[in-house]
This record gives sequence, structure tokens and C-alpha cells, in this order.
Amino acid sequence: MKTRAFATFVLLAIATLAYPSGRGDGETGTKLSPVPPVLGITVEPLVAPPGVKRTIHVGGFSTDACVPTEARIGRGRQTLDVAVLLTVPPTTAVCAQAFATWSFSLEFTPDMAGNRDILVMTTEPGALGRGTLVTSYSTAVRSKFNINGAWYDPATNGSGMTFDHRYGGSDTVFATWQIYDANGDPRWLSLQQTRWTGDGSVLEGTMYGTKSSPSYCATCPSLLTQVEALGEARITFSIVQGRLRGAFDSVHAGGTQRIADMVQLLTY
Amino acid sequence: MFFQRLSLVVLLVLTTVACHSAASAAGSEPKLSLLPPIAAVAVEPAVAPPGTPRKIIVAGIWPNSCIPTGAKLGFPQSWARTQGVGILLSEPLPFVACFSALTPYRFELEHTPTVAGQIDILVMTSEASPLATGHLVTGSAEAPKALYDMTGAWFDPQSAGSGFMVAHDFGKSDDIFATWHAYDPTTGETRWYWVQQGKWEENGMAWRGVMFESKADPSSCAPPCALPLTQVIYKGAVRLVFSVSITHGGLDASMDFIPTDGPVRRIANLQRFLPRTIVIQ
Repeated sequence: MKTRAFATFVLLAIATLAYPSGRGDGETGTKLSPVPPVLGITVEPLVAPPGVKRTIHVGGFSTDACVPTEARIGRGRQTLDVAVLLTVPPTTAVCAQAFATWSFSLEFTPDMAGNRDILVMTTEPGALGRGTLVTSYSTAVRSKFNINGAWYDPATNGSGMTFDHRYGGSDTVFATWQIYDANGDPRWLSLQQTRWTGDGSVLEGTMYGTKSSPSYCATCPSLLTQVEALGEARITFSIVQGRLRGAFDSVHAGGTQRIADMVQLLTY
Repeated sequence: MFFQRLSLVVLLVLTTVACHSAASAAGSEPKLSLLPPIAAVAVEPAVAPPGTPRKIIVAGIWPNSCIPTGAKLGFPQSWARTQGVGILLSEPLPFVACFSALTPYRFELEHTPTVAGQIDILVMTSEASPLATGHLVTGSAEAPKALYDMTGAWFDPQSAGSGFMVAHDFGKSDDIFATWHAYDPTTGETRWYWVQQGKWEENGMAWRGVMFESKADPSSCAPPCALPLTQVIYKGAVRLVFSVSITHGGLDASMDFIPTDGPVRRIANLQRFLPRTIVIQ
């Protein structure tokens, strides 16, 4: 499935790359600027306890024929990190212009629980990127996506959610929801006690409203004096047309109510 | 600064090793197991404009006498879209005899970035052993860049329940969009402001932006519900100054509010709500 998805992406990238070159230099239309997946790093199984053999897939797409020919995996002497070193032809080598894909599958068995960076580099030193290897005894579902940042629904621009997500770490999420009351005055709620469910794309948690004692100025922070649980919320994340989206529902005894279809304000 | 800290660590390690040896000789006290850093990365100067020669330093204490014999710096192949710096340290051949001795080493590599931005530095050995990571930050007065990723939830322990949510597009646009969560001074109800349209200062550790409040039209929607804003009110400017804490190794921040009609006021001394990566080296 993953390979098919990658192949589709590559085909799209090739088609998109080929298209602008076919238009020639004489045209003045807006250029397309696709970013092919130069590097993809995935781990199977995504999460497993120590002692379980894991397969790290490293693959990519090249615009010349000088693709990596070999991959080696190694562990840190002092850190938990894992390194993947890709052997590439020397920089002096002549590389024919050609679209090429490459991929390697490497086995690695973590001996202790924790989160490790997977650092990928080439022998003609170049840092290609990094991934995460999560080793855990916990059977808790891990998030599929890094949702850090500010989100909003274009239909209600001016309201929004901001997530602080320890992706690749504890996976904890703390979020605030910026909204308005019936009078149109700005109000905010927080989303806490979150958990990932399903296949790791659904975030559930409790919405809390807080209050404080009257303070001396509007922009000054003050201690909260009252906390009220307002109900459960569920946000289902998915990739739609290449962009991460979050469908935000409030959950109550009678079912769910769609509150917002969110996209990221700043893209990560 | 970097090497002062490194020297301190080395001294501590040597002291610990010496104590450990003495302890081992004397009896069966629990062993201390403080490991010296095998590798750390520093850039000098930490932030500089494009065109300025930079020194990337990789140094550490190797666990034996077979220290790396060379270091090579490079960039990804032409097809790569990221421009992370890779540093490959050559390890001696496996059949070379190595003595057990903590051995310091140091490499200095020159690089002159041509564009502003933040890029990764990855260090590993020719035997595919990961050693360290860092960032190369290139910015100028005209194109200043942040030294660290400031994303996350921040709060002042003195006013827990209020807080600052920061979304930082570190490594890309470097934009910050933040929301400031406080309370209405008369009713104690929640009230929020947004902060954006800012600019980093040249040292990459201070940011100044603009604070707004927004309102929506009255609505019959049963709360909680999201609404589009219909009114934006300018409140003033906000200046954030970040600093590396020698207490916890992470970042702290001071937040000053600069209103349209009044003196600059310290609003909060912020800490991160969820634990973050230690940035101290």
C-alpha cells in the first residue's frame, strides 16, 4: 500500500516536472513547483516493544542517475539515535539526466524503549533528513501526524485552534480553541487529557472552560480560579489533496456535531 | 562559551572517573556513570549574515584512543530539496588496536552560507554511527532568523491558567502566529488576543510583533461554536526575549507589552508548558 502510494506520488512528480519543461522557456505562465519526495522514511511496525525486529524503509526520488547504491545502518555510541548512511557516487562522477527512484529496507532491533531519531546522510556528506523510531511497551495508539501549530476553518476565519503536540515523544497534546460568545466577544477553551485512537489519526479529549477573578488589566495574565469540563471533542485528521486537515466534532450523548473543518495556518 | 561548558563537563568527568577509581579500590560503593559527550556541534558565530565565513566545530571526548581521523563537510546531491549540512567523520579501520582512554578530539570546518535560513547539521561516522545534530542559522538585520524553534504552549507559573500558544514556522518562513490567553478584568471570563506580523531581531533570540483583539457579530449559535471575525482592534506591540536557562537547559521567555498609550509593561516571564528538547550545549 505504502509502495503504491509512493509510486503514485512519484508518477505525479514526474508528470508535473515534465509538464513545465514541455512548455518551453518562451512561455510566461506561472511555473509549477512540485517538491518530489526526495526522502521518505518509514518504520514497520510503527511502534513495537524492545527486542522486536523493525524494518526501516528509506526511499526517494532523483532527477539524475547518480542514486544511492548501498545503505548501511548504525547505532549511536552514546545516543539512542539510528543512522542510515547512503553510498552515493563521488561528486566528480558524471550523472546522466534521468528520473530515478531508489529505496532500501534495513533491519534494526531496538534493545530499549524510547524515541530515536533516524538520521539519513550520504557518503558524499549531505544531510538528507530525519525520521523517528518509536519503541514502547505501551499498546497505546500513537499519532500518525505531527499536528503542532495553528489551525483554522476558512469558513470561520477569525476563530481557530492552536496545538502543542509532543510528536515523536510523549505524544501529549495540549490545545486551545479561540472562539466567540453569543455577544461576539472573544472567548477561549482548552482541550486536555487527550488520547489518540483508531489508527492514530483521531484525537479525543475533554474541552475545559476556565474563569479567573477580576484582575487589574485586560491584557494581564491571571491565575485561574474555576475550571469546568464542557464535554468531549474529537478531531479526525486526514490528508486531503495533499494537505493535512482536521475535522473537529463535539461529542455528546446524542451523537456528534461538526464544529469546524480545519487546515493549518502555518504549514509544517 | 561552548568550549567553556565542554571543558566543565570534561573536568566533571575526569573528577568522576578519578573518584570512581578511588571508590572501586576502596570498596563496593555504587558506580557513578556520567558519560562524557562523544560529540557536540557548535557554530561560530552562532548567527551571521549570508556571505560570512562560519566555523562549524565538532568536538567531544572519544571513548578510546581511536579518535576520528578526519572530517568532511558537504551538502546533499543536486536532486535533494533540503540543504542540510552533513559532516562525516572518518573512523580508523576496524583492525587498528585501540586503547581504553578518554581521548578529546576537535574538528573545525569552514562554510560560508549564501542564503538566510535555518538548516540541519547532521554528524555521523563513516561506520554509520550517529553522533550529533545541530542547526546552522544564517540571518542578517535585513533577513533575521530565529536561533531556535519556539513552537509550543508557554505560561507564567505566577499566573497559571493564562498562557501563550506559539506556532513558529522554524526552518521555513520563520513566521510566528501566537494567541495570548487571559481573562476579562471585570468579569473574569476568558479573553484572547492574537499576536503576529512580527520580525526577529538580529541575534535570533528576540521577536517583536503586533497584538490584536478580534470580535464577531452576535450569534444565535449555541456555544461552543466558531465564528468569523467582523472586527479587529489593534492593542499594541509585544516583544518576546528568549533565553537559554542554565537551570533546565531549555528556553525561557520574557513577554513585554508595548501599548499604544502607556509605558512598556512586563506581562509575563514564560516557561514551556510541555517539556521540550534541551538546547544548551
